[in-house]
Amino acid sequence: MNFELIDNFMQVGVMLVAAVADIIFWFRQKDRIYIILALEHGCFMMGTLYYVLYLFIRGDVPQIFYVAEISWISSYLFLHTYQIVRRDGEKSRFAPVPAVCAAVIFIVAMRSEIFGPAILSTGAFAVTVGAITYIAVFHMQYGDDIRLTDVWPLICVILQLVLYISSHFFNDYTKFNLYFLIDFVLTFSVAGLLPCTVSEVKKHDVH
Amino acid sequence: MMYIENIFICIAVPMLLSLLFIPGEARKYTFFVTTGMGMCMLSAYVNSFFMNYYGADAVQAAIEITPVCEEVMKLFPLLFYILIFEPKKEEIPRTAIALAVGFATFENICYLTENGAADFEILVVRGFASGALHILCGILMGFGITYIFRRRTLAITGMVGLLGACSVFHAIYNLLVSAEGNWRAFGYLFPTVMILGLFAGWKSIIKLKEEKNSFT
Repeated sequence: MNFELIDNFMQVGVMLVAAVADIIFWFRQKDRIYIILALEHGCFMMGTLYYVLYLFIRGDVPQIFYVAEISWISSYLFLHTYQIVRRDGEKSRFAPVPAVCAAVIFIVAMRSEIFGPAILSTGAFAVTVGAITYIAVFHMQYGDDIRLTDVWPLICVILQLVLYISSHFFNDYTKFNLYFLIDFVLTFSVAGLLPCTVSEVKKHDVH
Repeated sequence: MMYIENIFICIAVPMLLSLLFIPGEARKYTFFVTTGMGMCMLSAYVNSFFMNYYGADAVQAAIEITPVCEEVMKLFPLLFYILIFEPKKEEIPRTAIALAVGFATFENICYLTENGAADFEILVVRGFASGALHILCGILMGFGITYIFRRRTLAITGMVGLLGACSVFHAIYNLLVSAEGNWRAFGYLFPTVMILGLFAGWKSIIKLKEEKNSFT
């Protein structure tokens, strides 16, 4: 079996389990953060599912509007919302170090042409990951403490960029290679946001 | 050639006339259902434009262009209503659902005009599936904007994110329905099962809350 399909099915499975677990936590703890996480994991899952179904049914990759991209961008938008909600009430202001980090991430995302020649979707993704980086670095630098929920989204963003950049060096996706290893790590990192959130919520939100 | 605007006028005029005599919530509902139908017609124009622009065939357009255009077009009147009229938060999900219902109804009318109404089984299945799909998207959008991303700092990213989620959900349905055999059957089945599950979940939550209240 084509390794790309194995990788995508694994990603769909892991994200589905993560989204269901998020919803269970939301029912049990009534915290809005879990439903945002469920949307984040759900969008990631649906993007990959659309891509893999398209491959299965049509025998090719999408050619016009790459709907899977929209879903992945939405997933990162929810990740950005997650960051804002986790640092509820703490205001951000302009700071040079986070701005430089965000600019670097933005430029790397734009230069690597993550979504191919589609400038609009690449730009939307670059702005989103830039914003995630800014908030993550800002709270790591100026926050009272360094929280796992600040570091983890940054790890996801960096892994996503590394994944896209690595895709320029591989043409054969039928066998296991470094690209899939990075994709596995990314998948489990994105899913890992849930245990990370659970531990942080327990630590910080004790009433 | 399908004269979509003639069909729209024929259906919308009686509904719009009824607005003169219906007060309150029923008037709002009828108005938004009609608006949803209008948005369906407009999205058909936008779809045709992109279809010609990219030189896509009908199936390719249905899978890759239509879901995005339809969800964006459905969002516009909701956004207008929220920003201009600033409704109470419990009114937003109702409006989103009414728009979705109008959209699904007009889409089904166009399907009937194009394919005929002879095959009852297919029409029942399609009625359930496409209705359920649009209503699910309306529920996600309405409840998401109202209860999850209601704060101003979250509203924009949340709304765009929800739009993306609805688009890909819709695209998966169109992709499955465009295929043959089991894929198509599954495509027709999953929105119906999901909406029934959602309804059952919603009812059981209300029941649990009532039981809790009666204990206290």
